[in-house]
Amino acid sequence: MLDDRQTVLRAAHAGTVSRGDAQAPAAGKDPPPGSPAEPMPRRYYFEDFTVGDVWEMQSPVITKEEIVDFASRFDPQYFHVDEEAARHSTYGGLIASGWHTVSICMRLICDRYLLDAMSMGSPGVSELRWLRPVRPGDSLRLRITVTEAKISRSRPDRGTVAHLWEAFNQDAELVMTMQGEGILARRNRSP
Amino acid sequence: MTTIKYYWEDFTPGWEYESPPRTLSARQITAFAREYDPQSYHTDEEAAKSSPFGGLIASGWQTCSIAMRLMCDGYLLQTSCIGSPGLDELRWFRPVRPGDAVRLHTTVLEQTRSLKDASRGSVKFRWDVLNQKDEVVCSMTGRQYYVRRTPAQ
Repeated sequence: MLDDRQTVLRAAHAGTVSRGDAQAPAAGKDPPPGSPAEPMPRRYYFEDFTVGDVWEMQSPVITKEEIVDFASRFDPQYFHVDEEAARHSTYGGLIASGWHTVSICMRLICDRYLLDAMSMGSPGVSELRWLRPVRPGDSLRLRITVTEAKISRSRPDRGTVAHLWEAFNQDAELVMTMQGEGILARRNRSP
Repeated sequence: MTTIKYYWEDFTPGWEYESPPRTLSARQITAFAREYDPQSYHTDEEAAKSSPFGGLIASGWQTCSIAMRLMCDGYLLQTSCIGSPGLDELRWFRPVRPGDAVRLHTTVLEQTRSLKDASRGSVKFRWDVLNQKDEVVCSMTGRQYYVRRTPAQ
């Protein structure tokens, strides 16, 4: 199930990302004891994100099974897990957990560029809005717009990139927006 | 559907809830991340050692999703909750690592009647996720919509 999904997602983005070896370091390539580990070079660093840059990506169709599976694990409110009960809810049918929607978008970003970026995590997000329900059969188009890029004052080896997330459904309706923030290493700067 | 015990009226400012802890294994961390956030410090124990985090850490979205589950199990499934418009702020303060036991602490900040619909209202919450050392690992403020017990006429 999991593997099938990953195959679908990879196929959806084939050619856009070269994953390289970052996810699976070859055995026997460990640094000698005592020496600092050299992280694998990546394609994207802080410098590669400038204000106004736009990244677009497209999700596969989101199935009822996926919606119920995610929600059974993390958000088993009846309108996420019980099709029949959901019909009588304010939504008139099964809808995806908002956390599921965010997680799907996160996966799209990973496959589009983040796995090839020298990412150092995120301090958080703000103004996360679930504007419209995501229903079985929907597919999402995610647009990421870089809104701010600033070098860290205290740690000049890295910078923070702020970006607006906008997720649209197949009818071009906005279903989710968010202000995200990511920390990225600067190119050719050792920590 | 379970019986509704708590309605909008019950979430008065200052209302609190603290969940039991939930321990996260390395396997659970990598399984979630392989599906939704396959950055190497979430999926690969060995590669994570040379990351800025020095070892495997949970995706921030997994921490949020677990907080959601703790909320559901703790009280949400017994409430009249009908969804959420979103979060104002979400901060990940500290990594969650394999073996960490996280718990949810909910506090009601505000209770607002709906002007459009007298049968419902919104509640603004602060949700903190704490680890076994009582450190706040993640903190959120956001709203949820609830149906009222006795709709105003």
